[in-house]
Amino acid sequence: MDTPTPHSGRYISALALAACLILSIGWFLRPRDIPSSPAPLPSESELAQLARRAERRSLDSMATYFAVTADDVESSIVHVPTSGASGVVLNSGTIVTVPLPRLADEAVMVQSAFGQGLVQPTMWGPRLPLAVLTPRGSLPGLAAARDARSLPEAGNWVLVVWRAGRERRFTSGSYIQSASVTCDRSPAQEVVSSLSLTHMMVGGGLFDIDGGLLAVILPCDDRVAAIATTSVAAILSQSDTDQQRVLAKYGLVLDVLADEEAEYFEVDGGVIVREVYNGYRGDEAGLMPGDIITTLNEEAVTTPDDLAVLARSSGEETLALEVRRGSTRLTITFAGDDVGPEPNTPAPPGLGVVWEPSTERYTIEGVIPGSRAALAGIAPGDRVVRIDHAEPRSLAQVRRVLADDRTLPVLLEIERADRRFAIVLR
Amino acid sequence: MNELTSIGLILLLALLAGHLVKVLRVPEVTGYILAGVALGPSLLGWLSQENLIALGALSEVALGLILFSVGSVFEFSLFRRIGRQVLVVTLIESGLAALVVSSGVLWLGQPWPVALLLGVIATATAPASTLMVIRECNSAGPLTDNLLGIIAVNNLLSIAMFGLLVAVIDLTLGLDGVSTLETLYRSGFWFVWQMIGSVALGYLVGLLLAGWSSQVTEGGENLILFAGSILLCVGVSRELSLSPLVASLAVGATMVNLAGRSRRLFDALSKTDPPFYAMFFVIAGAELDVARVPAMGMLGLVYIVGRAGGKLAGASIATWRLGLQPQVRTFLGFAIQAQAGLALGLTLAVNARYPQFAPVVTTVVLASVVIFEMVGPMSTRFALVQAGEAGQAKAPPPSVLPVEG
Repeated sequence: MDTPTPHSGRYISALALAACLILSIGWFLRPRDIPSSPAPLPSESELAQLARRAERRSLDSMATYFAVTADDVESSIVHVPTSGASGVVLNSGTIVTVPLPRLADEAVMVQSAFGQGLVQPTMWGPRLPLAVLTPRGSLPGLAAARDARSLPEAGNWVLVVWRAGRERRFTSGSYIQSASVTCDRSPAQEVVSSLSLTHMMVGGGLFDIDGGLLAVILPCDDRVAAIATTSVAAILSQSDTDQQRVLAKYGLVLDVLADEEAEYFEVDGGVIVREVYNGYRGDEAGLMPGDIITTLNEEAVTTPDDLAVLARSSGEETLALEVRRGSTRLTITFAGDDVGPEPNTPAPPGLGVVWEPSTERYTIEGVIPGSRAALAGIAPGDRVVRIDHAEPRSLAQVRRVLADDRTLPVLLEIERADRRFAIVLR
Repeated sequence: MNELTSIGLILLLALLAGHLVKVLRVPEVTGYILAGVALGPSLLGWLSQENLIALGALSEVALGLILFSVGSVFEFSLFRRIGRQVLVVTLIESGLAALVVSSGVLWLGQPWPVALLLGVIATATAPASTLMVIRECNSAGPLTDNLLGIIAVNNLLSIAMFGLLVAVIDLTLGLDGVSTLETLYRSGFWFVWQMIGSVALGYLVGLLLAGWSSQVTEGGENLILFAGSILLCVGVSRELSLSPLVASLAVGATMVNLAGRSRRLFDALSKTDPPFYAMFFVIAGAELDVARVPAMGMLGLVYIVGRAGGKLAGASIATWRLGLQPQVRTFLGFAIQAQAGLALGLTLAVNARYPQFAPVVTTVVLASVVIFEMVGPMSTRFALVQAGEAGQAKAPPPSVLPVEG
């Protein structure tokens, strides 16, 4: 644009006119929202905008880092098709997952990113918020999760890694705190984070940013919680008892007979069946809450430990229990080829009693606090199945039995969720 | 701290830093920038973001003055003498820097638009710090002449290449809901508007300045005239989406060609403008975020090495082909390493147009500008001193503002 003949006034004026025309026509022809020109001197706000954009790059790198961490820990996460949940391979080589829907102790299949293999359930059952699976032989591409060295500081990143089929999924959030909770009656430490845990994540692991395992995602009562690995270990060690094995295998909670119960039942000794879980072997064989087991294979029984053989039996020998039910004496047999229950199958005939589901008629809708029933542990929603070993005859009878002014003790069999238990109401 | 305190502090500390670094044979510009880094939010924090925002207008005036001076290289007689070689050298050094940086970035697995955008940004050489080192060294000679021409043409070329690249990217990726024809129109218009429109505006402002300055005799009034024209030029450029850089260069070019009187005007101005420059570089230093340097990673390293190497090799090859003087062949590449504001300006344009490529480009440029803005002036000084041109200007160099009266 600069003129080669700078001193000529005519040229200068002509160029000025041309410049004005260029600017006017250009402004007129310009497209809408024309981008501004790169400024040689960005303003402070523009520089701040650049700085933010560079931070965005850090965020992108962070997301990549999370994905890399998830890839690192992926080998410790399996998918359990039976339950649709995930499972975490612990240091011990066993896999912790959610309770299995199937009650039998037969092998189930698990999937990793590289293949699948069979695992044997070694710990499961009612009252446990988890199940333990032990691999049969080596599984391809599986490695134990590394325990986190310590809890992260508040605000630090954590991520949940789980599997949907073979596919690895993850999500990230920040650690908040550790809290004491109760998970299916077991006291536990929950690792609380900003993450919203859902049922699709159960069985997955909560990891710190270095890939250390902090917690296992488990269903706890009505919600999903990240239960600290230390608590998982504690639950497992507490459950590694004959009583828990009897519970897992037979669905029976056994207890020492209290003196007043011995007096009420008019027996000298024995072990009381406190709870029976529906569909388990004990239920199938016809045992009921309130039954008193007096002998096992004709040897006297005084404590639950005397029945440990139930837990340890290989399933091949036949076990005969002598049981007092009210004034009746029964013999209940676990046959050697009894490989486990099929849910909802009625007990074999010939055991004296056939179990039938109770009806809605005797469902307890409310309990007055401080009342006799409340003190005995009866809760709304419970169903009265039997009174002194016999089915209730009428609503009036149930009301009479539960009334506060009644003085005679009575044995109630209550059904709650998937179990029945016995209460001696005084 | 309030603005007056911060201006006072900037001036005094700039002076102090300028003296201190002279002992180390480092240019004053680097001293100013280092003082800025120390005072700025990234280190001591004496200059807050608010201070920097308030001082923004002063920086605009300073940069406008510098670009005026650089524009004076387009004086017809001078440019007829060295114009062709300056164009060839600039094309080759910029082209090679862009090629090396783009290849390296592509090799690191970035998408091609990121590679090409970084390549084009790498071509820009900072006019301000380069010019200030020339003035400080009082240098004259073939290297200095070529260097002045290159820093003027280089910035025009960077903006032109950016405009072309934007057109290519827009046409390849397609704009949302816009036909190819309209994309072509938008990109083409933007390119032409940046170049021709900005020159037209610069010519009009230059005409105003040249006409009015003949009526003004006092140095202080001249400064008012200059500052007013510059702010007007930059402000109107922004309003019309024109390039303030091209327009400012055009003002200088118009001035130097229209009036023999302009020499007197530049002389008078140079007695009053050094505080602006000191403030400009201290503020530029304060805006550098040293903490970002490690974030650039391998990509930043490739950018820095590729740009420095590409410019060195490109300048050597071009000057050798043209058969220029040995000192120009050896040292020109070292003299054109500085990079500052325009690189950030182009990065901002990338942010506005291509948010998907912006994080990578921004991280690399923000970090590398820290390095080039500090090392560039030292490299320029090294080149001028080694070429034996420092201190050679008996009178102030013919085409630049003298450093002090």
